Amino acid sequence: MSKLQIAAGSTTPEVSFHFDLGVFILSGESYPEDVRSFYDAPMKQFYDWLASSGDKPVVLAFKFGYFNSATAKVILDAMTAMEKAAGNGRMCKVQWHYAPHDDNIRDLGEEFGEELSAAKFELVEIKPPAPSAA
Amino acid sequence: MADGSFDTSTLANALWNAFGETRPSLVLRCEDGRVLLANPAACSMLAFDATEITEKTLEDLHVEFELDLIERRRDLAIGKRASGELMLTGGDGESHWLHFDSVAIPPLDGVECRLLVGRDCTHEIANRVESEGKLSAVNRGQALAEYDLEGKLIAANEIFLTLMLGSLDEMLGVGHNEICDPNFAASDEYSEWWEMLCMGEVDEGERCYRNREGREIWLREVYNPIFGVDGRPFKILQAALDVTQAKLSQCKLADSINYSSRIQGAMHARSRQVLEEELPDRHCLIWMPRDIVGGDCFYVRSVAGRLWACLFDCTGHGVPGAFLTSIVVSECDRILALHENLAPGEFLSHLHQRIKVVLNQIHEVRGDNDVDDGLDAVAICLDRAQNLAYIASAELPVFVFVGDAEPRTLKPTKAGVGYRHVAMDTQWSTHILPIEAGMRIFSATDGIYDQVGGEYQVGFGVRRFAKTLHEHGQEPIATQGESTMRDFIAYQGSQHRRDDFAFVGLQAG
Repeated sequence: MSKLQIAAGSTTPEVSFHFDLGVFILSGESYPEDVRSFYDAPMKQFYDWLASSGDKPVVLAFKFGYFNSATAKVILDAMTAMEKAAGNGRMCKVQWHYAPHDDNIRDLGEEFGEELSAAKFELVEIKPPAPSAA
Repeated sequence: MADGSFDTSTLANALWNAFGETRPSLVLRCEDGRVLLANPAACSMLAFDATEITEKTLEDLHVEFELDLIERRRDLAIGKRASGELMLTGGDGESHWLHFDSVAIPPLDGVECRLLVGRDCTHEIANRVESEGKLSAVNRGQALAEYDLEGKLIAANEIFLTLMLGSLDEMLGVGHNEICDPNFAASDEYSEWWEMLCMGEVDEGERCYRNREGREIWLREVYNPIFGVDGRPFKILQAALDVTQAKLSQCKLADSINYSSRIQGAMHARSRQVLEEELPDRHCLIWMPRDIVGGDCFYVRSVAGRLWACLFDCTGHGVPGAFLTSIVVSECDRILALHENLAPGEFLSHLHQRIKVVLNQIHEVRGDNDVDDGLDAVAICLDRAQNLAYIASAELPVFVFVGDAEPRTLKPTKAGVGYRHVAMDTQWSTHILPIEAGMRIFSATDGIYDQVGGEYQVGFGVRRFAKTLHEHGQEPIATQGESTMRDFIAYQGSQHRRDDFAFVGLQAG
């Protein structure tokens, strides 16, 4: 499989895992009643891919507007795996996207970023869509 | 005619010719139903030419095995029946439905005959068959009952009767108000509702009924007024699904959660009482679980002359969160009973170790089915004899206000309490602050910080919370808490609540 795509639900984020590109994106809001029943399967695919794809560069991107503390644990686990892979010399980048004015999500991202040293961490402000040319 | 007499044969010819193109008509010999004459409309509709069709009997055209339809055919041919529908097979092999009127005519050449004047009703029949099919599908799947405008039952299907445990005879004439929930039936709302149906409004909902044994029956139902040809409703059709089982288990679950909330309330009662006794009018406390019970909780105790006030946010909310809170509170009591002179950081370390043990989360690597749950926590210990505030926090910021100045934010130790992935020997640091006059200490759970809302539909945030508290800093602390809460609710606006939230404020000096 080259791609895993799960549409966003009312309490679950959109999952876009591009295994061929090494790009993994979670976006939206995340507060499912049972975090593990939602995340276990896709995250296992991510970890399996990470373990079996050699030195291929990896980008892990989070674009959250809201997430609960159980989701924070999923994020932390994924970042820890990235940090470990980066420690072995692999090119690993974690991107943390936040909406303009969303200080809360930006702050939370900064805190996560402090956990990373070998893996590259980028805070990215989501640009509002450019006004279309008249 | 000027003299009032008719040339009847001319008139008959004129009628026959007029019908010729528009009304399929056949002249049948009564004796055997043979077609003696067919007009052009009949020939074209049935795809025969005039000579072909006159060789047929009605029996040839109407192939039927049902006795009553065979009788109907014969009765039309001999004039015993004035009208009826027949399905005829045309020269093209297709089926055509004709509605016939059977008309007496004088004998033709001494032979007794009937004139069948027809009309193509194939479409009507097709529609009717489809509607009947749909209706019987509904009839098989749903409880149906009909009431007159007085509310008396005038018809019901088997499903409805089975639910109500009554035969049709027993149920006919029973008032709707006699079978629906007595409280509803006795209310003003009921008579307004029934009146509304009688005015032609459709209504759907979930309602409780009583069957003939008095048992509750819950129906998810639609009430459809049925309109007469005058455009006014003349009866009400109730179409319903039995949802009793689902409803009762839902009620049971709701009852059980409501009862849990009494337990959680009782668990909090002592904390509220200690707070009232130790800091009357000098505290604020907001606790708002998202779903009746929650994973946020507070804990206040007075131990060896020191006041302990803690705020916890356990993983999950609702029932799973509430389970954790009860473990946490009893562990806190246990720790303070064993160790009176702990610093809050040490207290959190003890709590961490105890939760790890209780939830079997000692080993950092988890197996397939193991949990990894824990909590964010703030522990504040006021030692008013020494005039010192000791504060430790896991993940949650603490704000300290003195006078009008911007608040000082105490950074939390970045490790959750009790989690499997947090090492057993993790330490939480303790801030020690001299208590100053008017000093206020606040902390909140992340349900406040993360709540989406406001102009940009983003989280409320830590800074906005501190700013809001600061804006209301001139008010007494109890009012300050309420005002901050009001601003928060306004910020949330129409967004739904994502999590439980709680906050506590103490006026230490």
